[in-house]
Formats: sequence, structure tokens, C-alpha cells
Amino acid sequence: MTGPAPHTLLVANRGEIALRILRAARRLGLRTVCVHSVADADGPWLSMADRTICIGPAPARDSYLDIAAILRAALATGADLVHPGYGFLSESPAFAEALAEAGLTLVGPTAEVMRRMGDKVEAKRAMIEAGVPCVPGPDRPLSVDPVEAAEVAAETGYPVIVKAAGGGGGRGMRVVRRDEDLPEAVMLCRQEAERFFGNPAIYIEKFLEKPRHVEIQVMADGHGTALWLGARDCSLQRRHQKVIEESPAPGIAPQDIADLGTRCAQACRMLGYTGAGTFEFLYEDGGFYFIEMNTRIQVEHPVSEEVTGLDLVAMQISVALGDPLGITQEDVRFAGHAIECRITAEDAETLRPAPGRITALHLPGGPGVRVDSHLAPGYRIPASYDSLIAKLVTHGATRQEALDRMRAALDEYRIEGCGSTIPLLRRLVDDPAFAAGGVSIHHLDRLLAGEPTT
Amino acid sequence: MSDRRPWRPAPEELDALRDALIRAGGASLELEIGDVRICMVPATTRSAPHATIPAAPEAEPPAPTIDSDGPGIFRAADPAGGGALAAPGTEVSPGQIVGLLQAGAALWPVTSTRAGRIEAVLVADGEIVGYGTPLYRLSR
Repeated sequence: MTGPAPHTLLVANRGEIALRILRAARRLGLRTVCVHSVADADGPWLSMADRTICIGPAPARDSYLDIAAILRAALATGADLVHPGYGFLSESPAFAEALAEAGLTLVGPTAEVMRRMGDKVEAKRAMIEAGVPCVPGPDRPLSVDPVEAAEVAAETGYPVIVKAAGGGGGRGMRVVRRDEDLPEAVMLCRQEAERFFGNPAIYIEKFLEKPRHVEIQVMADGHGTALWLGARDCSLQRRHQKVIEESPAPGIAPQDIADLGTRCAQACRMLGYTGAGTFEFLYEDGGFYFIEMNTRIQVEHPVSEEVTGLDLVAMQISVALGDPLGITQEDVRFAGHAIECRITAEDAETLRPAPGRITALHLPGGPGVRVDSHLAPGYRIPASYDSLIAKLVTHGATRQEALDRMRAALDEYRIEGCGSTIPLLRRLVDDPAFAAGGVSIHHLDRLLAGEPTT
Repeated sequence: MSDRRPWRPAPEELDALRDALIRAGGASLELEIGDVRICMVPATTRSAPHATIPAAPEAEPPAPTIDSDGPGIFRAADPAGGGALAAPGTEVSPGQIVGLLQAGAALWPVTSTRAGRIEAVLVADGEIVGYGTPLYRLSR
């Protein structure tokens, strides 16, 4: 008996997410190819792949961001599916287009949807159309007329935030509290938008003082099914980088999340969205305000997997292969509470990158403890990339149980040869405000700066 | 996988060791880690720290190679016809096309970065190669 030729999935990423994708692909019975740079030739995750192929030197722009090199690797190895992971080319419409032109399938949405969601103003307009709540402010870029800018800001109500339409990651934005400060902020923001993102378009929104970051995980197939898979609270951030995430969002009524989730799923159907995605919101005083949609799997997806029992990476690969999701919203059940700590190779005090060669490693385990990590003893962490070395995820029947497991797991974790943020994370888990749940996105920066956090 | 491979010192590790030796005021150092022997002696007799690995006993520098500059399927000859582009014995000059890399329908030329005589073809025609894979060995 001869079946159809097995699919070959090429992993266009590195580190823990490459490992996560390889695990899902193996479970699905796919052949795998993993690309790597010269700096990652010894990456422990590569032994999980059926084939590995070096695509370029250490700098990401010459390897993991080199569309032509990845395309050549895919064609040479006979891959028909490409998983971009997160970061690197995961939200590049040009990459999606290049793959489509070569007849390869991206595990992700189309270039068109990616492009639409990558433009903040376009995305906001699409969300308003779909009935997803947005931050007060016009759904169009700011004109160059200073009088109109002043009118828009006054109408929106100070304080406002001026943002780059093509921006992200906390760059290219400015808070304005008084009308006399607006002209300068607009000018500087426009310059930064042009310089950093190659797009001078900017827009104005209401600035929320103490919001939380709450996001909805979605998964959609090409057959009209779009599911929402609960909320994650990612408010504990350092300089706009998430540090601890959890699901569900503490203290927010499940009915409010269900209502928001239903709107997000509806937006997916309207957009013709396929695959995994995340709608990010600010949450303040009971209201949700859309900030952006990420058209890829996210770092913090394991907390959603723990509370739903679903394999999100396997689901997004199945969807990319054209399969229906095979479950409905009613089949999605949420159980317990999950927390994720991002462990990075940084000094726990100075928070400067502290890579090195792993001389000793012991990972925690036991019920409700999951570690997604690509490290192995003897492995040298290259200094060329992101410093994430592990995601420690705990799951419990209650938030308290998940926290207790996290505390014990952090205490059990042993890693030598590089810096690690484990001591900092251990302190944060004991922070009374975090332990109580519901801190704002400014909490951690203030805590680290020794400022009052209330 | 890396824990199954024997340890090989990285240049920066040797540099760090040398710096530590200088700081400690030591004149020389001899050290064995696994199957690797590291010798450091004053610069008057040697210019740089080095490590000897018994698996590669020859002290001579390795023969020059022409390496792949990207991923692809190695083609020693043009699939459309013609003989090997750089069979052993061929004299090559910098910039000369010595092989091809195929990906899908497209072919990319591999050019020699130096002048020399091809001593050996290191990969088989049709083999998948990555960036940096040595394709040809040149005579010393």
C-alpha cells in the first residue's frame, strides 16, 4: 500500500521554539528539516530534526532573516511546509509571498492578512468593523496639519499617546499630557516612525494610565471555523518585554472574556484569518481596548495549552495542511490556572545579557510542571540572539496552586555556566501585588526602579 | 547532541585562558581536558595560544577549500549538459565558476575564492549542502 508522500516541514527558527515545533511535527508524523546559522551548529534542538542545514553566518540578517537562503534550503531539502515560529520572519509578508510564489506553504496566514494587521491603523479599522473594542481615537493616520492634530487630541482627551502606524514593541510612541507639548511630540514621532519603520504615518489614541495587558488566543481553519482559546494576562513586563504570563486573567469575569473572545473569533472569520493568532488588548476599569493583532504563535502560548489541553502548534500545522480544526467552540474547555516564567540568560541583578557555556543543568519536574527549553549540558549559548533560555510553566487547579508549583519549581531549577533571571523571577512570584493578581503593565518597571508601585 | 561530541576549545575560550595566565603572572601552561591538550608558551617562541587534538595529528595548516556560500543541492556539472566544472587536476582562478547549487529550478554558481589546483571534490553530485560546507580541496 502506498499512501501520499509524507509532508516535510522546515523549521525557520532556532532555540526553544524550534524545539517546540519539531516536537509537534514529530507527533504529527511529519519529516522535519531545521535550518541553523553557523553560530547554532551545535544547537541541541537540531538532533530532533531529520535533517539540518546551515543557511548562513551568525548575524540574523544573514541567516534567520535571509528569505532567499531559507527558500533555497526549503527547495533543496524538498520541504513543502515552512514554520516561521515567532520573531525573525514570522510576520513578514515578503516571506509569506516568496514562499507562496515557490509553491510552498507557510504555517501562518496569507501575506495580505499579515500586511493588513501589520499596519496598526488598518488593523484598528478592521477591528472596529468586526465589533472588537478599540482605544478611543480616530481609525486613520494623523494628517500633517497641526491644527487638525490639536483638534484630534482634544477630542480624544488628554493624556494621549502618539504612535507610529508601522511600529511595535514599544518603540516609536510618545505620551502627551498637555496640548502645548503636542506639536513637538508629533514631529519627533513622525521622524522616528520614518527612521525605524520606514513609514512616517502616525496616529493618536487615548493614553491609559494603569492598564493591564490581556490577550485572546485564536485559532482558525480554512473551513469557516474560528475559535477563541481563552485569555492571557501578560502585564508583568520589563521595558515592554513580557516576563511572566498567565491564563486565565485574574479577577476578570469569564463572561467578559467569553464576550471578547467571541468578537475576536468573529473578526477572524471576517478577515479570512487562518492559523494561530493573538488579539492584544489593554484592560482598564473593566474596559478592553485593542492594541494589535499578532499573526503567529506567541512565546507565551503554553499557558493557553495548559488550561485548554490543546496542542496549539500541532493545530496550526494541521490547519496549514488544509485540515479542518475538527472541534467547535463548545468543545473547548478551560481547566485550572497556568503561569509561565520566561527565563533569560541575563544577570538577575543588572539584567545585562550573560550568555555562557552550560556546565550544569537540572530541570524541575513533577505534576503540573512543564519546561520548554533547548539547553543541554555543554551547550554554549551564542551571544548573537535573544537571551530566552527556557519557559517554565506550571499548572494547577487554582492560581494559588500554580503559584505554589512555580515557587517550588524555581527553587528546584539549577543552571550553571551562564547568568539567569531565576532569582529575579523567584522574587516576583513572592511580590505581594503580583501574588494578589491584576498588576498594571508599569508594575515591574517601577518595582525594579525602586519606585512606589501603587 | 552536543554532550555526545568531544569538547573542542573555542578561540574566545583560548583567549580567556591566555588572559588569565598573563594576569596570574604565569610563564607557560600545559593542560589536558578530555582528549584535548592545551599548551601556552611565551610569545617569544609562539605567537598565539593553541590546542592540539590527537585526532588531527598533522601540525600543518589544513589544505585550502572552496566552500558553499549558501544552501542547495551540489552539482559538479551543469545539469543541462557538459562535463564537471572543476574535476580534480583543474587549475582554477578567483571568480571562476567551479560548481553549481540547485534549489528548485534555479541554479546558483559557486565561484572559487582563490587560485589553485583542485585536488579533490569533497561532496557527491546531488548532495544537499549548507552554507560553509567545504566542496573542493585545493592543492597546498
